[in-house]
Amino acid sequence: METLIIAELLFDLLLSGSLLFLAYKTLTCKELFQAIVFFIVFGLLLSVTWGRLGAYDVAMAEVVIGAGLTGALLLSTFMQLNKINNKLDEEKKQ
Amino acid sequence: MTRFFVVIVVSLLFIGVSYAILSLPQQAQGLSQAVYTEMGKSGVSNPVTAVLMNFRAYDTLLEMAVLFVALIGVYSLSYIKKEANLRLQSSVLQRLGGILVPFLLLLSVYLLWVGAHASGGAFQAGSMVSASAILMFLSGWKFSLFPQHTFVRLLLSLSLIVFLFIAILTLYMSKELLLLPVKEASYFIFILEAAATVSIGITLFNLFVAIFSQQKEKK
Repeated sequence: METLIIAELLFDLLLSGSLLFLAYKTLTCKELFQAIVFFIVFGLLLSVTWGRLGAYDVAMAEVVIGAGLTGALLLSTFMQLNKINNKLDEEKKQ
Repeated sequence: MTRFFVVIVVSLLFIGVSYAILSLPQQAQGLSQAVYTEMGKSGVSNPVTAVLMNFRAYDTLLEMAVLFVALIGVYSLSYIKKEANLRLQSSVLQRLGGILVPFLLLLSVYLLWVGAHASGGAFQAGSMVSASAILMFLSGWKFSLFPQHTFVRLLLSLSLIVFLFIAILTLYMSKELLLLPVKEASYFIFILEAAATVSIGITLFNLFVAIFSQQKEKK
């Protein structure tokens, strides 16, 4: 029983530590694509955290909308931004 | 210089937030006691569903309206083609889509059903529907769930229509807006959740497609 509690505590500490680290990396990393991937991973870990807190409803909504749908939207926005940037570069060359 | 001020402001904010958290009472009373005493009248045994669909049904009605208005806003700014034939070239996606979609749809029905007595419910089931629709769309399956069709428009507004209909019905039956009668509450909640699942699924799917196809249009 004791070891289980210690293992849970370790898991929780690891979870909250990596959440903070991922949040920091999402905000500070230089590449936009990396930031999006960090954001998606952040959403997944956040849903695990909700599960640990016993809020399984929120965890499910978070994993589908926060990580899945928002991630897909961010990725397609990123592709669109790339296209616009490429076009601007070509215009500058001309 | 700016950095210095930022550090000061952030540390002040940090101290304030820490103080607010530390000064919280140890045992927060909340509304959970009130919910548990009324659970018997709600028609379901999952407290989250009871709050969302019965005690706070008015809030959920407004949420549905917000989703609906959001889709109208995005739709009026985008160019969804009538036969949007967009696909990512990947054989993995095609095979995997075929295997996963039936299971995902089954899972969404399960989530809708289980919402009455355990974690789950309309929002989770609806987002599962939209996720499987997005998977089908990206795999290049021929199907159109776009708001050009009157039938799809009907499905999109289904939850609002059902919600308003039930609101009027309850106003007529119990003289109070969305006060579900105790005996029939579970049926009402199931109808509301089923309608909400369909509308949420198709709304989220169309929000995704609107942005995705706009990006391809610019080619």
